[in-house]
Amino acid sequence: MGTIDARTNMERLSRAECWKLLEQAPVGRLAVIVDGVPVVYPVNHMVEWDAIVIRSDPGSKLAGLTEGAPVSFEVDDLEPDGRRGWSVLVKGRARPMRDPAMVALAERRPPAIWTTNEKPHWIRIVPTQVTGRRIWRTADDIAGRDRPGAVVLEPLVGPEWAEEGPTATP
Amino acid sequence: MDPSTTRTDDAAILVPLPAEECWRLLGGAPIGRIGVITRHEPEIYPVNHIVDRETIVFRVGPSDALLGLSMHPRVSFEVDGVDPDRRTGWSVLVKGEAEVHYEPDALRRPTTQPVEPWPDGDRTRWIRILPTEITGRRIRRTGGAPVDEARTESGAAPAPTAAPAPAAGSGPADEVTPATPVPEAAASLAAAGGRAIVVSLHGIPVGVLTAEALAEDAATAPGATVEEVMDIELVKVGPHDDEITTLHAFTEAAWLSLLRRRPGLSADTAARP
Repeated sequence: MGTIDARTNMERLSRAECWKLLEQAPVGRLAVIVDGVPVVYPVNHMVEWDAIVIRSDPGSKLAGLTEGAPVSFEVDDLEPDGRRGWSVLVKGRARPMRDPAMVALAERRPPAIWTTNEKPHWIRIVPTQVTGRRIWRTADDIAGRDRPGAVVLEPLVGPEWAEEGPTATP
Repeated sequence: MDPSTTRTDDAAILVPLPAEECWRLLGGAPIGRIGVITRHEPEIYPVNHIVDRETIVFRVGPSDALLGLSMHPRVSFEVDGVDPDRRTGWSVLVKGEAEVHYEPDALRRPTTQPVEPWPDGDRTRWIRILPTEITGRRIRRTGGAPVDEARTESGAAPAPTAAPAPAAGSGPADEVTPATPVPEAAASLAAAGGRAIVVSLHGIPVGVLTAEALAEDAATAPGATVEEVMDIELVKVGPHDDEITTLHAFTEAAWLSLLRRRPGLSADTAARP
């Protein structure tokens, strides 16, 4: 277990725990830069050794997944109010899989949910940085949670995950 | 995305979603993910958001995400719902421009109270994403039992699909006014699929009702109108104030209302029920 910040109830997850969560998450999101825009897509993934393997269909997303392109992959499990749960962010480089043997191996996996076409491309994400956060807050300590009559504004909670910059991992 | 439906290997069809459906899903999802570029690299952060008149609003603190948004306002915002067991799901992607609003103290407690720093006191920047493009898709399985697609949706239970489609064109389908019966207001909120609804009078917003508040009022005062369960506060809003400033004004008023009715509240306990 990592350390918990007393002020924010934020726990920085250990690398091992990040990988465990990455393996267990049924679905993740991939961010890739396409025409200067950081687009986000839900993808199915597998963890292979210390890399993430995703399947991409031909399309705009694939256009950004060129050899060495910077990408991010994120998994999370958050309660609807965003005040309890965890998230893991992997930053890395895209490495399209070219070895037919590796592709054949990947295709023996059960088909995933987000499959859209008959000619998939397999991309390996080689991480340069893996960070994870868990938030333990249990008290409703944000003003909007108490209801002043019926006139309330839904509390907006920003990305607690983003409060500190990610730490570089060797 | 290719606008035509696409058949996949395992008999799934990818159906593009109309914009109204995309907005309904965006409003109903409690958590979304922003895609930002920080130091030339794409990053993803989960956030709580609300949909305000076809823009997306959330808060961030000083962070890499804020740095990215400020330096590179072209961002995207994604929500999705996946049911791994049924192998179905949907996703909505918004591309747009992020605006950063600096309102360091507007959301703190009324200044008559001693102000303790909030645990999240640094998170004072409001971000609004002005969409330039919205696309969505839903996976429909053709084989096996028919899939209850609503099951994969998060947030409040959506209205039955047989219900009238939301709003031909723009603007809210049903205006909730102070005279609207509470159950009707609750139904409008459910049909819109959001977590909060604006109460307006002659088209001018006069308050904000949340799903929680409505549910409570519907249970305790089933015959009441919105007006009877609302607290009336004087809210000063300039004619040219932007939406964020207006929302701040309502939030302040809500706090004043609470403190007035419970004078014993001190600032550090005010937030707790």
